[in-house]
Amino acid sequence: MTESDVLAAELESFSYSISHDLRAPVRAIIGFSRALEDDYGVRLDDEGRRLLAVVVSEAERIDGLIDGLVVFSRLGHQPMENVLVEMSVLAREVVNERANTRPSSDVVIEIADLPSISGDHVLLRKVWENLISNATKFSSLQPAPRVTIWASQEPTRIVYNVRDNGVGFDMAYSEKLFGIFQKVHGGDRFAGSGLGLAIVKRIVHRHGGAVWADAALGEGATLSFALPLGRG
Amino acid sequence: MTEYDDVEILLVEDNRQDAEMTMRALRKCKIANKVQWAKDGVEALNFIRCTGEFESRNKNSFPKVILLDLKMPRLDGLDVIRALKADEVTRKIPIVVMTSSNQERDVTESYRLGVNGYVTKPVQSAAFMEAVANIGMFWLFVNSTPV
Repeated sequence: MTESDVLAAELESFSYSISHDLRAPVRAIIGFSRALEDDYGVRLDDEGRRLLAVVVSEAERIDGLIDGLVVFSRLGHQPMENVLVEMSVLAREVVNERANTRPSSDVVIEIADLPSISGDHVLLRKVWENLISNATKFSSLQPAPRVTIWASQEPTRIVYNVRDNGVGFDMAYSEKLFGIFQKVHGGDRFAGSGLGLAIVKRIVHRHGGAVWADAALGEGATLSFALPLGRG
Repeated sequence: MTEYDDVEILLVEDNRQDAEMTMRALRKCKIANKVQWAKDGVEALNFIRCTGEFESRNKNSFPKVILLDLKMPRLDGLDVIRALKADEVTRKIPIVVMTSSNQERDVTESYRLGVNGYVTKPVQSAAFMEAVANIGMFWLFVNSTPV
């Protein structure tokens, strides 16, 4: 076994433990809260029922974090395919899917023609899902939310960009942006696992590429990733 | 006739909370009259084979379905499936794996060994209740097994 095989096996076992051992108590918290509500709900007043609902919703949040961690740890070692990925089609699919699940969203999303590139179709889809989800989330409080997606071809790579006109962030925190469970916006203002951009970074790195952000507080943000040409 | 006869569902689950929730779901939807809870694979095999504490059980009576967790102390779920499917008498008892794991290798291995169903325990309580009710309904009322 090579060192990387050992590491992959450890990660596999880590993600197995997480999904099995951590989920059981979360499931119990949610299940028993529900049982309490069913059997004793009539004896609780409004405040009691509100407190119980908080317990459930926080447990559900833990479940979401576990999902994220499992996805993240699998990303590091799952085998990658290398096919020609039509990025324009992929980005449009993600945007359309989003529109179908959130018909009330008023975010305008513009997608320019994006060059195709060699890579893993499923993983690159996750990149678009996370970047588009982030951009629409952080621009959602603007009066006219807008997301723009475009690309530029350079001699050795293609740079893909997702810009939003949302809250932006202070570039002093840009290092934290791609870390696990890091959020540059505090509290409950924007819901999220804090894993989306860590997932993006890991996928792009596995393709031999790079990710970065450019933003200013209150002036929107642009998230970019570059993928090398000539892999396939 | 002992208290262990006419058991309709054998629930094999080491996690007390999961076991209680599953039995509660079965009770709520009024599907199973008699559920036997085995706390690990060893106890499950003792029950099925009428050995150990279950020696006095009627040897011709089997549950209509076994709900089986995979990760358990002493003897895990995959070993229970191997043991039951290797025996001509017990191989016809339907086994539905109910586990937290949605790992592809567990699903593949369970089916390779001959399980009849594989369900990942939902975290949401409504979905959990519904999954248990659906499993119970199908294996107790819809399905037929050889006599």
